[in-house]
Amino acid sequence: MSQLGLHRRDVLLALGALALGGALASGGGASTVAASGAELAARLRDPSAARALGIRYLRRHPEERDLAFLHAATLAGDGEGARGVERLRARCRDDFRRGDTLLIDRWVLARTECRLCALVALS
Amino acid sequence: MIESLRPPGSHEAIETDLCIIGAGAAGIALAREFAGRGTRVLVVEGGGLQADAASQRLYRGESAGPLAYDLASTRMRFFGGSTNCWAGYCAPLSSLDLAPRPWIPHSGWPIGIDVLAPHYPRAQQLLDLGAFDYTTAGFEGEGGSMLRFDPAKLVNRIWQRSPPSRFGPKFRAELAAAKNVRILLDANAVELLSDRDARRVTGLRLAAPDGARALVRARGFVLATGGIENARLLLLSRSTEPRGLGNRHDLVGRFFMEHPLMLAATIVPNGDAGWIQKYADFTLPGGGRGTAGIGPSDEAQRRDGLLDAIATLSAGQPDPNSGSRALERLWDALSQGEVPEEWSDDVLRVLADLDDAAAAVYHHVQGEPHPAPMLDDGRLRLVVHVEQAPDPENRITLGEERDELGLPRARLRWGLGALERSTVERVTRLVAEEFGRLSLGRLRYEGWLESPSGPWPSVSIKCHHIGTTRMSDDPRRGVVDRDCRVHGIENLWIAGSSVFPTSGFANPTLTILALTLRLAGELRERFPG
Repeated sequence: MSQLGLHRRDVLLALGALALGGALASGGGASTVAASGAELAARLRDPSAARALGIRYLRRHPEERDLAFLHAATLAGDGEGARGVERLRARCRDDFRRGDTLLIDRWVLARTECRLCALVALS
Repeated sequence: MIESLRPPGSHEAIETDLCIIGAGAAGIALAREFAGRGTRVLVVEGGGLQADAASQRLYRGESAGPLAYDLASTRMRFFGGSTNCWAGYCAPLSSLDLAPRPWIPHSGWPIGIDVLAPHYPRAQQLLDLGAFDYTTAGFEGEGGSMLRFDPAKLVNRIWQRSPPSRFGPKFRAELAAAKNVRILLDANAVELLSDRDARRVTGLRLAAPDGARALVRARGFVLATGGIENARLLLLSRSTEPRGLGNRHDLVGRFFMEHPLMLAATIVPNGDAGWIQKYADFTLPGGGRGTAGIGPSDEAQRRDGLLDAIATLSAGQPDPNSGSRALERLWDALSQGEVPEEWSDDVLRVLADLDDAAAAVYHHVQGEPHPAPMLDDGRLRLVVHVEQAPDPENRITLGEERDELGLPRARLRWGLGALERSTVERVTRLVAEEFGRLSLGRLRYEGWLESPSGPWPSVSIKCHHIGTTRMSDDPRRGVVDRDCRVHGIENLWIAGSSVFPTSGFANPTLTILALTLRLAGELRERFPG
């Protein structure tokens, strides 16, 4: 747990519930795509994929190597449970709509997704 | 009347009003426009009524790189031309495709879409297509709905699919019955002759490999032999113009364009992606078949400086162990004169999956896409088909080798540039953004696309030969004028995609026919018979 009271497990669950989870979960092999958020989250118990993406993001944006900033930019104010996840999804959709995306490890990711991965890497 | 340039050793002198050189889509469509009229029309075709290996060999040529290109297997040399093997995908050009686009050097047609539009509906009929409707209405009317993209980024696009129409069998009897039309087979055009100032074509020399010869005198000549041979015949016609007829400004053969396509990305979909089946094949309102793709909107092309393009999706990945894939590897290696790696394994794969290998051969001969066996890995593959930027260095010239008639073979220098690459990258990015916004899934680039330069991946082509006698009002910028007449020559016209200054994403046959029908109107006035 970080100084912000942030559990890496919570961040991973949030990631798993986002569409990104599906991509990461099946990124390393030929497994079929998981359909449900719960299954995705389960696959992400091993956080190495998210962590690796987060490290790459932070290399490119060292100014964001700040847990408080990343938390505020992603999870803060989003509430708990399904409501929070839905807000995260909306935030990601908005990133995609605005073209605020990054190419990391050849994945096209929303800024919010990258920051969640960065949280995984730092937390 | 249909006959052959025979007998061996003969020498015939032919007089006619209009000589059409080439019996492919353009040549046959043009001849039909004169059938039953008073104008005497001669159509000369280098091949016969059926495919023939000896005739097809005359299409061999030299590939000068940087990308390899097989000049013989990308076109057909017999009555009906490449309609004998085409896949039937049709779409019109857009207004933006024809407009000068400042971000694309050498772009811009001298005519607008308003000039082509009246001829598209009749071109549709020739190709056994339904109404000239390329909106998405048919797709929506079938019960599904298309993806709702941000129109500032992407739009859905439609191909209508011809059965596909084979012009040889389809129109042979009709032309044979026309008393004013004579079709001369096995008659290879070897040189256009002109007067001393090269302002008027005075004759056409014909030759058959068996030694038969003919000389055609006509009031007008139309070159309709395809994007490679149109340029080659002009370059071969050097009696009065040392650089070739119509080539005073060194433009003949330049600006060769294809429609390259390449795997750009893999998509991990959210949940069921069954919707892509309908994109691949749906029923048009009139009963025909359609295929949909995803392209950059006009706004995106202007804003981001893009070529036109269309992206298609397929589920899974081709099974590398299938008979067709093994046969493809063997063929690719052998045609390059190489001994394939693991050739014995691939031979065994072909033998073990002979049905698929045989079906692939059949589809290749028929010009149809082969539905290769796929491995379902739960992912989608994004293939981007990109317009090629007109580049004067991509060109047809005369090669060192000679064909069976003793003529220099065509030599093609062909490559892709930075604009094609940036367009593929940007379209892929836009698809990724829109799939993310619509919660459809996440996209991962293919490795080659990550770098702004570097080697191209395996590039597929559509066997479209475009741009080598481009259209412009300015003789210093184009070989033909807006009426498809060769600049400076009063009685020589060109039909086919060689006159296109740019190509859009659209397969060219529909526009070839629209331009041909327009040309027919002009020629009927000039040669009323």
